[in-house]
Amino acid sequence: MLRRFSHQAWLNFKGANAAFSFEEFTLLRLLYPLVTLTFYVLLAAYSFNAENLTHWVVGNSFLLCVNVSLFTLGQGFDSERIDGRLRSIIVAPENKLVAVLQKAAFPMLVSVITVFAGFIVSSLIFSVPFYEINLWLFMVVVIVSMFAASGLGLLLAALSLMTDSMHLILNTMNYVLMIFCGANFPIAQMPAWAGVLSQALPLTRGIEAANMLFTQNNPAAFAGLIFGEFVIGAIFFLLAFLAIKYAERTAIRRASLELF
Amino acid sequence: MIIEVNEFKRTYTTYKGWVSRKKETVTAVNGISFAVEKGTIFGLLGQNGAGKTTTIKTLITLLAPTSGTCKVLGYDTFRQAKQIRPRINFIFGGELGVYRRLSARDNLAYFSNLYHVPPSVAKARIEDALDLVGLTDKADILCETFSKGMLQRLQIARGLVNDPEILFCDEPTVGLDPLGARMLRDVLKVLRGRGKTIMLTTHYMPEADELCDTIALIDGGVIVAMDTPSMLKNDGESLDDAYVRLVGKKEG
Ligand SMILES: Nc1ncnc2c1ncn2[C@@H]1O[C@H](COP(=O)(O)OP(=O)(O)OP(=O)(O)O)[C@@H](O)[C@H]1O
Ligand SMILES: [Mg+2]
Repeated sequence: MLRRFSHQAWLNFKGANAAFSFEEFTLLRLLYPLVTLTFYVLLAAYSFNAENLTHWVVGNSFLLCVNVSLFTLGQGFDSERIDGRLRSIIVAPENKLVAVLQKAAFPMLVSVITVFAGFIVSSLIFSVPFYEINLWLFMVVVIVSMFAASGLGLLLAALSLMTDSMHLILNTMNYVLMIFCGANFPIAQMPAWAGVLSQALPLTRGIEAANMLFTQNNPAAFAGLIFGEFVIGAIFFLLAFLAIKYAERTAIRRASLELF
Repeated sequence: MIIEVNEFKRTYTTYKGWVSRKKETVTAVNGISFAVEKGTIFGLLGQNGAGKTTTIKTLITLLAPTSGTCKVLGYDTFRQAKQIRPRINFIFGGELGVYRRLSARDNLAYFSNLYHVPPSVAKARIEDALDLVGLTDKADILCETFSKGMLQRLQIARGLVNDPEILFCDEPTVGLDPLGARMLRDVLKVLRGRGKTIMLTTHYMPEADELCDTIALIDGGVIVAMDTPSMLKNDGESLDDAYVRLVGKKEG
């Protein structure tokens, strides 16, 4: 089963990237995210007049890899619909949630590498003391946060079976995460309802945990945050599983699976 | 009966405008009933927009009936889709539906995996299918360079990856050259010989005449005639003539 999963993931990745040369791929996956990251950190530096940029470098490098999970998963069915392959996937016995995960597996792997490269390069630029922290723990935080974000991405993928406005939905969600997960704006300064929202979103706890690696040594609180992030992810996965089942049946009833 | 359709009706609802949304309902299929016997080729013929594709999509579990029932292999196509899906497949005409940036072989591997075909079985089956549709030489070239007919040949191979008991073909010869079209007809006959059941739509009457054991003529969402090709034809008539007589009388 694992063999089939990785084979499918590889075929998906190959199909999505065969058009790019190695240089183009590297530029797109490494340089572009890095420039985005720099932009947000600079923005924060000037608008908050911050001396220490650690918080923003950490938060924004997180957002980068999470974007990949959100977008590749969220668009999973949409791109198949446009290319007329959705019917083959729906009619095949394969679980639809698994089929979308297969599509996103390699992009997510690449984005973990991106976030690491981005984190280290921007740490050098903005003098963040990354060499003082346990990079393995940082890696764990990244992976658990991506798991949680994937749950959200899959939940959105369910929507794409019923609507063709995925670009709008995904971009809105992206900004919601950017505003409310604590990467750029301190949650403490937000109104109460926003605080509640931020606690229900993936990433909030992950970013807090990553920041903790720099600011304080509190293993119990750190573990609690990681566990919380994992639970949020598990809840979103479960919701996504149910939502995809429901969306498939609704789409079959309403004939919204195909454009033509 | 391996396929049983009873009083099947399907409507589509579309919305127009975005200030005041107007609801519009189109009846694509308006209460049809038929049954297909195992090991036969069943033809569904009719004018553009008659409801053929709608019927096939419903039978392959891609669309729910608005009313009536559709049963495939004894299971309800909407409520028991899970039991049906591994045992059927389809070939649709047209260039969409394959990964253009993968080779033909990789495409077939991908679709085999979707059907959970064990790798050892899939490998041999993919080579057979490539050979059958005459793509062995081009198997490792990206599909974006394929011609229309080559893509259609790949679609045919795709429909065979799970060795389906029933194959649904919606205008499968679109874009094929004469040799390709004959290849497809031969494939369908071989499959029937092996006890497989085939449901076919086509606008090419000689093809339907040559292949089908039973033909249903559908017009405006209802069946206007259903019989063997020889019974549909009057003395000396071709199937084309019979079609014009049976379907054309309304449109004049
Ligand atoms: N997704 C859809 N939304 C709205 N109307 C649809 C949809 N699909 C089909 N229809 C309508 O349903 C009717 C039957 O369409 P269908 O595709 O079943 O015809 P067909 O017999 O396959 O025709 P053709 O020979 O042109 O392929 C047509 O009037 C068509 O406009
Ligand atoms: Mg059609």
